[in-house]
Amino acid sequence: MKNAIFALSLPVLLGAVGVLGLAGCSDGSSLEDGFNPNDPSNPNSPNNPNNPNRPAPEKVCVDTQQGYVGLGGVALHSSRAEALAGVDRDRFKPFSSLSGEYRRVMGLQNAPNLQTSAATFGEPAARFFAEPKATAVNLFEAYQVAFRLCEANNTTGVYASAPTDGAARGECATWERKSWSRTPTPAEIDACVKVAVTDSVTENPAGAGARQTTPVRRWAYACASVLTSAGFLTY
Amino acid sequence: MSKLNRRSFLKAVGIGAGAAMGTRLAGPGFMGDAMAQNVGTGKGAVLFVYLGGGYNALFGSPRSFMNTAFGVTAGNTVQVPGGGPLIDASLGRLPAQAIAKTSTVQINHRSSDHAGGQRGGMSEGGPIGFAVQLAAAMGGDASIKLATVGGGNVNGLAGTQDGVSVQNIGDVRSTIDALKGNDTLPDRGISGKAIEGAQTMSAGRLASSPKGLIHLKDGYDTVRTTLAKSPSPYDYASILPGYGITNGTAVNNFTAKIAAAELMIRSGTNVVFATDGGWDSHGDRDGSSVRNMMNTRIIPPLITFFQRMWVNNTEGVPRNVNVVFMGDFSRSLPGSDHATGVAATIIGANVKVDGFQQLTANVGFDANRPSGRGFFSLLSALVKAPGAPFGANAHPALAI
Repeated sequence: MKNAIFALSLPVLLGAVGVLGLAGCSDGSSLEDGFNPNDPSNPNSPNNPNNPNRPAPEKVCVDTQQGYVGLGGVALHSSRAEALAGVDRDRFKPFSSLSGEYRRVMGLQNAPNLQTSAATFGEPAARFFAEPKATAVNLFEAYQVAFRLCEANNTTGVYASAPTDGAARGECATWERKSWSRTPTPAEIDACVKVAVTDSVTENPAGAGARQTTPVRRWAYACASVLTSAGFLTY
Repeated sequence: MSKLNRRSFLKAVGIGAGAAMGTRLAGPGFMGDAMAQNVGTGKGAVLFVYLGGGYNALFGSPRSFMNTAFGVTAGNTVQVPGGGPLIDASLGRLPAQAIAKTSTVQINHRSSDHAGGQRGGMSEGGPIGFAVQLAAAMGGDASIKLATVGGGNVNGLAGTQDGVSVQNIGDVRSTIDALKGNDTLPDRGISGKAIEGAQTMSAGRLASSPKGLIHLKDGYDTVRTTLAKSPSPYDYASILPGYGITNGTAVNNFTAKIAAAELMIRSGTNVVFATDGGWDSHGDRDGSSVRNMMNTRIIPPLITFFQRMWVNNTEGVPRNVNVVFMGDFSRSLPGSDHATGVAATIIGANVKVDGFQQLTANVGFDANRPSGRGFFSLLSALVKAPGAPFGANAHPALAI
């Protein structure tokens, strides 16, 4: 009997589903088959609170921090920016810190004078603050500064000979460890080695034709590459 | 019937040449480069002169206040020929070619707070600013398609689309280094690979801060593209002396900003923002303060800009350089406070001056005028951006 009633009801139900589906389609909010996984009434929806298989949502700030209600019952935390914990914490280093950072990682006696680069980095006026941001131009400027420092200071010992794969692996790992304050991955070392050993063999200065790159400059290209990476330029 | 005599021949030639000059049909090969200065079919660019705080409607819609407010009189206004608007005499100092293509458009964003007004004009609250969208849609092969010169923040001037993001130009020397290089710099080709290596080394940190370091990722992408391009033959170093700048290359005043804007436009940048502060002119009831700033700080370098880009451009590249004056909002009456929209000034080869949109005598806006998106649909039409990124031009009466 129940089966008979179900069989009689089925076309009606399907028709109703079809009508609902058409009605839903008219506003573009439902899927063609009428089962929108984002519909909370769908028992399998991850958004259905009664779904036992519903995954636990990632905790965001509002789940872990204290809320405050102010005058008039207004939630003071309602406009608090939400984000997953632990992500988006890195920031571009301010220009004022770079000189000391170059001195630290390169072991220089004195911090280099970078004042001619200040405008490029948009250093704010005294007693003002502006969140530093990277651009194509200030990144290239950072790269040029690093190249010049590397070229001027890495001139003897291993730097007097053209980089080999083995020597480059050692130097790259050392630079990266010092610049990033962590042990680099093999892929990160490979990226630096490639610049020293493969990419920098021949220079093509404008109007002068191709020429063999000197060993010091080949090392400088790789060194500058490390000092233009996010591990050095951000914190 | 008619006989061809010397007088009628000269008259016909004169009319023909005049028509060719007037419609810019002549082109660079016909009457020399000097005739191809700025044409509606040229390479499009938009320079925004964004006045932080506000842009008083006395500049673009002074007829609204004639002899009643903001010190507007017949003596300090200029009529744009061809049925165009009345404009303030400060703008009237620009070259005649520019004045003849000047008109006024309402941006009715309905906001009277600074951040809201800026967002209304620049993004209407969306995550990708209209300027970013316009610069991306205009395309071209420039590595830097959208630039701010000398910094400055405008709400809504943000986001990334199709690899286009806001790139600030803080120093002309370092920008030329990146765009062109010189013999003392590291090799461009190797440097491009070295920066590619740096980006590879940065992958982990960029991934862990996808929002916070988006500018760094955009920077890597853009500098690599820049270094991969052949340098332009144009003598960029000649630009600063052209503006009378001989003592440094930092972009730290409005003149340097306009010089940097010329540099970027000549390098192929589609959209450039030159911002200026100090325009929140409360209490400036007679408009003397803003007129003074316009006359002393803003207009002089722009005269040079128009002379170099519109009038005496020897570059030999047909360009369609548009200039926009705007700010957070116009200033209200009686105290020069915050109005609810801005009467922007547009100058461009494709501007139809007689379609100007005047404000009411009380700094009122037409309720049917759109906000920022509609304004950018007009700019898109003026530069003939492919694909109509903002839909149909919401101000058809203002574009040829």
